[in-house]
Amino acid sequence: MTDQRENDLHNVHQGLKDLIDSLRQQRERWQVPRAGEPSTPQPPGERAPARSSPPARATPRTTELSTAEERLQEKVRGLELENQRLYDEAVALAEHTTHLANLYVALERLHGSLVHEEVLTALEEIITSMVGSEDFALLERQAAGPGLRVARAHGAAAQKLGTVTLGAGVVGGLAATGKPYLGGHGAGGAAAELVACIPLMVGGEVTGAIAIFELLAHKPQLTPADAELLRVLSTHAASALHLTSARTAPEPG
Amino acid sequence: MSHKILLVDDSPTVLLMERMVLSKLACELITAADGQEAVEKAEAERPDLILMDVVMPRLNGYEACRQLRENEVTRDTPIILLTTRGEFTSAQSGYEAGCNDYLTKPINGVELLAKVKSILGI
Repeated sequence: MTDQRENDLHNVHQGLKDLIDSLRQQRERWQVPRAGEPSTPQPPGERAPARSSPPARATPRTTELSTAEERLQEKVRGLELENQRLYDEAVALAEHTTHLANLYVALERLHGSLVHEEVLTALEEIITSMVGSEDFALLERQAAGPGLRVARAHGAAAQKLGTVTLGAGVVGGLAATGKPYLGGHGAGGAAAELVACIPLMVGGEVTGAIAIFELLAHKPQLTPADAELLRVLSTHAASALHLTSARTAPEPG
Repeated sequence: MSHKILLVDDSPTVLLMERMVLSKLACELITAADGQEAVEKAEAERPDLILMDVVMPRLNGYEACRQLRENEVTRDTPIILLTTRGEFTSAQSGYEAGCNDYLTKPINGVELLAKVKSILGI
């Protein structure tokens, strides 16, 4: 449906462009000399002969044409503004469509496997290719106790991360809040080393965390779309990992 | 006539994203999981455009690009390289290997669509 809306907007945008071009052409064809201007257009490079006589007085006809031209110019300005507004709307719609496509892809990948390692790999790919980071760690809650073990780590900072205790230290403290931390490096304080920390939550319980230490060099900061994606991961990555983890756990006894 | 695009990436997530973005073009989309498979598929399938990752197993994107340029069948096929590396030197290596354009990850769907449309003239 958004595709259809986008196509409609493109068609309107193109139609307005054509209309503006056509109005411009008409204006050039009918260009009306103002009082005191030469009555015929001069070929390029030729100058109009100097006038020795005072400017001609405006006749009712020239006044009428001049008013018509001003109206036409006003209309062109209005159409140009409308054209720009529609163009901006089309771009925003295309970006929104891409964002929805990203969310769909993330969910499809996370819930598309019953193998725990494959879900972890999908989550790694989502962080790298959609959020844009190669310095992050995926942590999972250990079967017993408050420990979060590093399941996957990329980049120098993430690889330095040992086992994290929920509620202790920067990552453990942020994960224990149960709320996504999207402060970026500008936040200051102990969390300044982190771009984001997303607790993985199932049924109100923290089952793991995504700790992002750096974004790719050409990506200055997280966008609102990234924030929404990370919030989706907080619940969907958690449930996919929890489900596959339970499924692959050895039978008791 | 429908255009054929070869998507090359070892990440199924990226391939799915590219499919989602490009599906609105009504082009035929074929895929390869590494540079070696890309070279073979490009020769056999003769796509109108190749969209290829750089860091891949077996054969990376730069080397695959070079091999595609040396092959008479694929010499003129447009290639867009797609990578997480945004540095100028990486882009330069891509152009030296023979790519036509260079895009960085994370994929911007609007930009990708615009580039593909521009190269295919649609």
